[in-house]
Amino acid sequence: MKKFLALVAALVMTLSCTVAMADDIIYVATNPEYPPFESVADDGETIIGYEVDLLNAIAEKAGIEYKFESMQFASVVSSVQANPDTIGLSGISITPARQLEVNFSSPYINAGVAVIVKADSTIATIEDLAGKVIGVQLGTTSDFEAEKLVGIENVAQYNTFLEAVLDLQGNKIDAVFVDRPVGVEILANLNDPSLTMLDIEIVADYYGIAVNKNNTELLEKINAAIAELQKEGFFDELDMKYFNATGISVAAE
Amino acid sequence: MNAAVESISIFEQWWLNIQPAVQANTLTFWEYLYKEIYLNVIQGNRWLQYLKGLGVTLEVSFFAILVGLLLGTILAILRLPQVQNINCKGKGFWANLGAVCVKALSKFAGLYINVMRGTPLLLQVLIINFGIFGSIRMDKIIIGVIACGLNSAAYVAEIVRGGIMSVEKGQTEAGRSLGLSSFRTMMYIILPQAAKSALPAMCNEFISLIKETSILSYIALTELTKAGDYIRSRTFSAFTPYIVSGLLYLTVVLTLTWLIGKLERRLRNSDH
Repeated sequence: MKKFLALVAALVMTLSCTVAMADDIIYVATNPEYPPFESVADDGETIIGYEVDLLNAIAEKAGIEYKFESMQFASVVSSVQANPDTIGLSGISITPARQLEVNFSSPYINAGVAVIVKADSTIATIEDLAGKVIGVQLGTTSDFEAEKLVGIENVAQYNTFLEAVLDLQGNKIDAVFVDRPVGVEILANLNDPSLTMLDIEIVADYYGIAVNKNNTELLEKINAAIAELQKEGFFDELDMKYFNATGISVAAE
Repeated sequence: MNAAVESISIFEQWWLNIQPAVQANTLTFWEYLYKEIYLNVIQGNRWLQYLKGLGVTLEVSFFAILVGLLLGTILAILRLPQVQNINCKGKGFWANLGAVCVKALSKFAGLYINVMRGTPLLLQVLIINFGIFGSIRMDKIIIGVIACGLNSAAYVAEIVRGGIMSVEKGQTEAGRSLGLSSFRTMMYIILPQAAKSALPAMCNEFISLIKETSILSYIALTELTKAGDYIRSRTFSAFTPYIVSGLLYLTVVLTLTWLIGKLERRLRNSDH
């Protein structure tokens, strides 16, 4: 019995030691399955990408310390909404519905919702999409736009854009709505000539950093840092680093 | 380091060899297979990510099994007929109060088992993570242990109860007539025999639990399945990382099955 109690005590101790203590660190909610914006590096822990570079620059300017918290994309905004010490940085488009829940920093990129179809598909314009099944990532602007266009019964919601494109590859759906830079990255990596991106933009799509409504002080710090980075030409550097190779230019506002 | 001096590994050499075919999209089956293995396992030492994920899976499974066994056994004892129908009439106020409490706990145990077995583990994990611990920041591993442990306890309870019921009534009577208290009879005579007959079913439960921890990828705990997810998001492979993860799960489960099989044989020998 004593041995058993010791075992239980050891278990409780190991578990309680790992409970993170609350301090003045900012937590960054993100879904690191979204290259080139954020993905998990080869060591399995570090998160890298466009937005991580941006975050590091902002953190340096605003003098904040941060820690990443990984989750599904659909949980990011609600997590920011629930926790004052959490910001959301996960390629989050600024939409009116989300602005009811959280505040957004000034936009730093226009991703734009694009359409991927099979190369031999008859879909060429927005009108052609009527009655077709559109694949999207759950809870994204693409998701909302697709629903507006073809109705919820014709939208297939996946956990990641990659899964949607893979199902398009397998002819299970007719088209995929995806944020342009992410779609370009996926197509470049799949290297499949049977897939193509249409030359239309469903809607402009500005990414912002989500901040809890009660933390206006942090929001001001972040906005000031973004404005300063813009003056320094930091966003041109980022565009060069992440988008030049694929031939798309995204102008920061 | 001098690039000219540094020798290139044979894996990278093969990778370079198939590059023209990769660009032109004219891979043969074997070249395609190698491309998938190189991208998802070898490049950037990605195999280490699977092993880290496997470590987390094993950690969560181990502690969840402990929680499940402990809580499950308590629940099982509470659900025994002799405990359910405990009666202390005429033994004084405190004995009566105790009996009422035990009966209430027994009812609760029944409800707990029904709810935990009657709802999907995925929902329980999401509710525990976003509901109960919604605004408490704690290690995802602990949330995983709690969720899987609480769920497993319900199944373990039924397995242990079945094991206890399978022990002949005469064993209890023998223990009691030898002057052991009912607690000691349970601890030293009934439970050891019950454990033996419950072992195959228990092994089954452990195996399910290990595989079910993959559901924790929904709360972004970087266990084996999520490690595969993260690798897939970088290599854009359709399913290869899942095959690698699957092989690792299989290895763990087969090892566990083998170990429990050995244990079972040893217990059987002790019958004689």
